[in-house]
Amino acid sequence: MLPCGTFNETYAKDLAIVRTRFQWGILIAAIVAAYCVPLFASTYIVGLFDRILIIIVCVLGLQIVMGYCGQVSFGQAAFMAVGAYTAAIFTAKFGWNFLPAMIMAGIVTGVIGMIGGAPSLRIKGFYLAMATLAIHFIVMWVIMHLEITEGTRGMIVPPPTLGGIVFATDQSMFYIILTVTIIMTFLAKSLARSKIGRAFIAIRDNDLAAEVMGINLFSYKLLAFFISCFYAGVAGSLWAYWLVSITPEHFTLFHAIWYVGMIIVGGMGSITGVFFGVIFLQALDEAALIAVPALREISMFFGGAGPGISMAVMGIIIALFLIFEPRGLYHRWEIFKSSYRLYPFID
Amino acid sequence: MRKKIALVIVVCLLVSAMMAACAPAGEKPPVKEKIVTWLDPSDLTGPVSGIQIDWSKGYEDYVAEWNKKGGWNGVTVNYITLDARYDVARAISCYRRYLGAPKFLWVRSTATSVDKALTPLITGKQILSSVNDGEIVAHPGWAFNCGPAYQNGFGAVCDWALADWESKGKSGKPRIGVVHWDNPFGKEWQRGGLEYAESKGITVNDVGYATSAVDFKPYLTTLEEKGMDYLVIWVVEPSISSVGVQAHEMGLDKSVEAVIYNWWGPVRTCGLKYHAEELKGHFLLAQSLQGTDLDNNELAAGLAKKYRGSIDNVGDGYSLGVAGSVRFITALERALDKVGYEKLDAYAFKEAVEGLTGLDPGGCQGITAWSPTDRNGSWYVKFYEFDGTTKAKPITDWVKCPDTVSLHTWD
Repeated sequence: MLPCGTFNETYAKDLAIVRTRFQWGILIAAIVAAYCVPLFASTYIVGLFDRILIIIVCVLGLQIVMGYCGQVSFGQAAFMAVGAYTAAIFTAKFGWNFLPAMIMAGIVTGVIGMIGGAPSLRIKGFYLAMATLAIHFIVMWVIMHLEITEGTRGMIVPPPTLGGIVFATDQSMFYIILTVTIIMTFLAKSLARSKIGRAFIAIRDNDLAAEVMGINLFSYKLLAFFISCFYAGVAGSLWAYWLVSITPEHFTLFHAIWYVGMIIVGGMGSITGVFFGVIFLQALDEAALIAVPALREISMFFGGAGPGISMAVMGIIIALFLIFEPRGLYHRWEIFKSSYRLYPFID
Repeated sequence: MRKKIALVIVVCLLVSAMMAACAPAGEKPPVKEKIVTWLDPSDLTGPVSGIQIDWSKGYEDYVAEWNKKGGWNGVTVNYITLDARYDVARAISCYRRYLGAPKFLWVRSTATSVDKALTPLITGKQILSSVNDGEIVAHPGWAFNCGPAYQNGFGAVCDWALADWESKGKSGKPRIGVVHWDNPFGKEWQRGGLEYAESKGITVNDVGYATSAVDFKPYLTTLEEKGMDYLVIWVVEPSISSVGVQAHEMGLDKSVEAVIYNWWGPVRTCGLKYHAEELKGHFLLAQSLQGTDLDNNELAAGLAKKYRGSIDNVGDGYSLGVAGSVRFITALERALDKVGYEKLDAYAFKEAVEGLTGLDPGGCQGITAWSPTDRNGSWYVKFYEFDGTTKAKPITDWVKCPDTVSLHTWD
């Protein structure tokens, strides 16, 4: 819903991401404020933001293939691993600068994702979920047994450099990660309102009808996987540059499941929902971590393993959340926006 | 009107939360207590929780006892246990969270992959109590292994198997089959361990599996088909007990000379509690006291009784925690003796840790080996046998491991 008194008079206005001067003001202020975070926040907070932003890039990709195109994927963590290792190899072994290495990581991961997404033409739903689960294990197995990836031992990745500046700290990496996140978010938002995005949505809603309308299912499904995995690859490369070392254990099936959970919690088919889902679950995870020292005090009730119940608490909260708001946080946000935009006409 | 008020409240809360999150650290309040912070991002709910929970308890209890006795002239250790769930990013997040804590000098790692990620971060700031990574021994730095390097432990298994083989009057050399996790920990023993086995004429066949696997029979069948005289199970509790049980169900413990586990299990509170009968007759390579030895250790048993009710309420990993605490507390005392609390930093602490060579960690582990050039916690291991009860029985005294790390060509 548009703010009161705002009307779409042209098609361009209808497609615009940012509609009013006020919204532009808020957006610019938010971006400026975000770039100022490392100047004020502690290393812990900046590190937390780094992690959240990288996961946002990864989950944005998953939203495109899952939320927009309707293709379930549990392979996102493995594709992130492909991106991380590709960036690590091109930087550490071939001496590439991080920028081309990051783009190459996205492309390589996208191509592998297309191969992985090929079964999506024949199968869908739970069957596709199972196929992508298999892809996760195949990809991780290959990474763990290749000589160039140094097997299970992992790789040390040199920190990114740009014009003589070394981005070796959480604070400096924040600027790279934030910039990439803004660009990738803009691209995802733009994709959603393009011809391709509309084709994805048509496939998601009814693939048979979409095909009758002339949409090439195979091409568009593969394209969805390519774009999704491109995002995962870029996120993986950021992860590698941020942590400076990677091993296959950074990218487990547990992570892949959490990424899907983030989309469900945030809201399927919404770019804003990705931000809600990732921030909500990561904040919850972090809150559980913060609560651990307090839980130690009552650990005797849990066989001395009190800190371990943090995960159970988190699971319960998510379950309750899904029961009471199954359409995701984005839906709640839309309701909130609708109510204040109608003020003072409806109170 | 109510919605307007609600909107104002929501905006105020959001702004407050953002300000609180991004607030500058500013002037720290004056420290009234003299505290040294130790951080243990343990695995309390993940794949190695079966061993890690009790390992953490051992650390906690010894530190608690030391604090209760007054610490060092009023200096106490704030021991913080968190649940990193065997997740590298989470372990790093735990670490970053406490960067501003007073005299934050010590971090415990729970996994080889965590070692790799934390080492560059802690250098010059904290000591890392690492697991048994051979690379840390090969390149001494700020990480200190809790015991012998994995490959050195595997070397001890080779020696034990060879001696057993020869004592039975068998000709030729034994073949060892190793089932291991397909991850950095699971394959670390190979770097130097394989070279050592080869030097002894021992044939080693191995098969790796993902930490999430639950059916191990295909892997065990693969090893059986390749041929083996000794089966070595190189994973972590609780998975390690499950492999042992399935090996028993397949009759492998009857067809091979011995089934040998590495030091991460089975333990009395987990695998041995539920499968003592199935694991009967199997052997354990241990880097710290287990079973009846642990019961008879005055320090560990006393602490467990005082803080956990009984030694039976803690698993066998407890001894490793107590041993680690004895070492690091001793180093802390020595560092404080030398520089005092105000000047205490990671360099002084590291120097003290490097000077612990020869220290007996309360009998819970072999003699300390740490020195300026050695990162093995100890060079000694013990072998145990499971007798159908929850308590492993010792079959050897402390045995010195061979040096296999030096046999490998490191980058």
